[in-house]
Amino acid sequence: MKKELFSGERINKAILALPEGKPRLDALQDAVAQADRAADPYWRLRFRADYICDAVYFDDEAKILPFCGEFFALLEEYPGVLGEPLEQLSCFLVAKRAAALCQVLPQIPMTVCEGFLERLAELTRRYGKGSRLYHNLACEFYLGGDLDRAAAHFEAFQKAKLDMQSKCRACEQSFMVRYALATGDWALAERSARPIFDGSMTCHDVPWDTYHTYIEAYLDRGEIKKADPLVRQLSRGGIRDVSDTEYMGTLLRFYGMQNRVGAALLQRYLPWPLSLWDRGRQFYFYQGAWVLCTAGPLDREVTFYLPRQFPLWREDGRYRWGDLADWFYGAAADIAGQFDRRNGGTVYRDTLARTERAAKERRNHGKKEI
Amino acid sequence: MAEQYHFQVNLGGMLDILSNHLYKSPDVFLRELLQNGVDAVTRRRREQPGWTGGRLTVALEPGRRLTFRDNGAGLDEAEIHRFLAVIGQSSKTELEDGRIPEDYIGRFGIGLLSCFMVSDSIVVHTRPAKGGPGHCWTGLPDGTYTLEPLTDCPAGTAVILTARSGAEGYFQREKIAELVRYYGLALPVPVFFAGETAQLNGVPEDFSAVSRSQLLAFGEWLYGETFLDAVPIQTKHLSGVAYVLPYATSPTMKTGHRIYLKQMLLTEQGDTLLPPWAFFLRCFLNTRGLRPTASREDFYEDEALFRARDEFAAAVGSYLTALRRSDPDRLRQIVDIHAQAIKAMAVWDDGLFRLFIDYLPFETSEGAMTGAALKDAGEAYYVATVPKFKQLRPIFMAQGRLLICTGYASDGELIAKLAADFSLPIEPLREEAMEGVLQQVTPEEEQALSGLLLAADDALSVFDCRSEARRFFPGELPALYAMSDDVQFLRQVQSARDLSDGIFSDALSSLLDSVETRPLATLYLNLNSPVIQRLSRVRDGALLRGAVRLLYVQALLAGGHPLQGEELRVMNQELLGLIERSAGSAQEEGVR
Repeated sequence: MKKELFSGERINKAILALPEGKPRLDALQDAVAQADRAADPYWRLRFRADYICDAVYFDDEAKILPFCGEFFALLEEYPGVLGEPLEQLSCFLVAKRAAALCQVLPQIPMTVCEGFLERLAELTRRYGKGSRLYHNLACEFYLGGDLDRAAAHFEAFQKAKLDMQSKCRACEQSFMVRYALATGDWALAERSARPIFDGSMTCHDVPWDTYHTYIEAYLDRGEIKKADPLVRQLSRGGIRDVSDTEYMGTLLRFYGMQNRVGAALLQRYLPWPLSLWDRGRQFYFYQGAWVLCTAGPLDREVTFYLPRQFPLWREDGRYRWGDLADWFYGAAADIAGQFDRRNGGTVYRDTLARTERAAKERRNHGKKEI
Repeated sequence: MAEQYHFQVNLGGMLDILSNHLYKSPDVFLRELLQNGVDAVTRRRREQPGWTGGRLTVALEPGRRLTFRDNGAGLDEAEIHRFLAVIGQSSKTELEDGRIPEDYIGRFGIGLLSCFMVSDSIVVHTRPAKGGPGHCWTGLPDGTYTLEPLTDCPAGTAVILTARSGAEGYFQREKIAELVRYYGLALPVPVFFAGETAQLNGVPEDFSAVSRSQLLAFGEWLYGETFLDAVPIQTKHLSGVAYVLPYATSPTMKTGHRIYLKQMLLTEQGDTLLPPWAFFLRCFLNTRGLRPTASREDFYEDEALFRARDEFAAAVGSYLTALRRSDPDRLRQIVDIHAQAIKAMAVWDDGLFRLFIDYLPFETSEGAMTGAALKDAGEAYYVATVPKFKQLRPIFMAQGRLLICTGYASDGELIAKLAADFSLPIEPLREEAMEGVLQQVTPEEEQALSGLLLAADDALSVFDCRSEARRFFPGELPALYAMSDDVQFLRQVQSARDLSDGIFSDALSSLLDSVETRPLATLYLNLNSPVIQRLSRVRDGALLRGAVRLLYVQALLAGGHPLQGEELRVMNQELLGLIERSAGSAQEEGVR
């Protein structure tokens, strides 16, 4: 039998012909395995970088961690094999994705998180670019627990020049909105959100990410009416795959605060967070699911088919809303605790407390608009 | 009270930004000239009802000078100061009911500045058609301008550009003709070279009235390609034709649409206007009632755009529905080539789903099967990942069961919908269903296998794997490795940790350590296999351990799972052990 020779170019061409999302990710994983078997250093690095690049948009972001580790280990073994500027581009890509992972994996210790950020800073010094990206990611990371350091990085981010390593303009703008709302600066948030809301800045994540941030902020203040148009937009285009799990959580929270029961939504989307390693996205989903489950009478039974891996799974599909609510609250609180312990702050527990307070106030007001 | 300050604007710098950075290519200078010309003609038609003589002409001194002339409304002195000298002011911002008149193309009053990309000055000769003196306006890139009276000037406006160094190529006949066709093909005002009668632009107003062969011929002329089919589009917001590409393509490939806004080319990217599945089409579309972005290279996402997108989907859908009756062979040909795009379309549109499902192919354990074939296939299961499908395919084939792979885009939704809409016994392959595929052994058989299973669990614990006895076909397959997504991910994490060092190794270790209960993979030992039957009678613990480990490695390879360091080491060690044993036995035989 004639043995087929490995050809990275041929595989790459076939992958590019696939639609983005799951088919391409599956193919890239397979391509990594093929390149490993063929011991081709260039394609081992290249396919890993491509996978890391795509997976963030269409899959569980946490799943790129092993690929990031392998990428840098291989790069150390085969320096220069990618050639400039691809090496520079890939290094930044992988380092920034790794640094962003700290925001979704509370299991990664603080020292390692800071090590990831330092690796990015080192690349910034080596290549004389990427400073804006570094401060952007560092600010986002410290928003999880150390607002003073976040503020310092935000200031540095604003002063740093745009360059080819910066995030896309829409993502930067959305980050500014996130920062502003996290620090309670509504005026800055509104200014920053303007080009997103008027449609002149969009990308894969924007405006969805901004809608999600804004809806959460409005709901914290009980402003259902203001959240409503954003919810309609988000539900119309922002729920695409498992990487949008936190957006779904926000929608569940909104429906819950409207005293609308969304059993069908919960049934349909619960497999998403259950399949995730990304604790950040899980947090928002479980938080939203908890609000939803507390919307009706807690002792009433509901029948629906939840995935088997759900810890409360029952063959007859009959659940009490109260039991579900307890489980979702426990799961969200558990994740909040993990993040806060690692970050040395109370940001996540405060978020959950705000959600709890807003839901309670909402229930006390009945269906009356605030 | 806080003091108020005014910031200063460097006009020269602003002009540089607008002309060199707002637009993607210097080509657009001609688009802006065409646009201004058409708007001037439109304005004159509105001001002088009954006047129908609009035309645009281009006079060239090749490589040096270009004069672009319209016989539209022209500008009087006050209008020149207002519109040519103030950035952001446009002669087209006279609002009707608070809106810009529908038949005007431009709106921002900055388009003329794009001419600075190819010319160091912009000279405008203009005289109002309503009467009044002519003027010559000369603008320079530093933001200054002069205005002089002009005696010999016809009604309308002429823009005179002088080639900048390096921009001479834009002042050539072929280039101008190409740009006029590119940007202004669909314009409602004819464009000529000065002194010539051959019109450079012009297309039908209503594409639904044009025959298919004419549409295909037009497509061939426009794109230089022979298309498979042409779908006329005539809706409230859209007018044009969608050509079906004669080869398979993908969403990432540049399709090269020509999308016009009020007859002026706006973009070649269909991402904003067209649905994502339209990648198998190449569209020539004129749009109405949509809002352009400031750079006039895309549309704003608003309700009108969403409606236009729905109209497009509906027009393509009804064309293909009609084709099923009028020319099913052509429809089949289109499906054969563009199954992927059509699948994406069918997921969202019930009508299209019912229209196409019989033709659409799916990968199954019995090869490619269409939706029609699946309707008659009886009981079937589907799995959502390609590797899992590949692993299970031989088992399903040997058992005469049907397994469908839904690991490709849209297949999962379509198969689920097929099952639901036609009440077919097609289900996702759940653990319960695997019980049917991998049959339980009897308690007696389980008892007989207990030694092997104990030895296997012991040998495999280091790989986070346990063993179970089952019966399944084909009997030649002694073992099947099955793992959940979590197990697969943890294998990757472990493998990466072995390879990495420093912070990555620490991060991966933290992740592994955080897993309280490690999910286990399963190695199913097949009691139908003669190898397993023989092993069940072996009492030599070391031999059993080695054999099970080799079965484990072989099952991993059969499932397409990469081997990790420890597994490779085990494979080498156990193979050598077996060879030694065989060699030892052979030697003993020889001695005897």
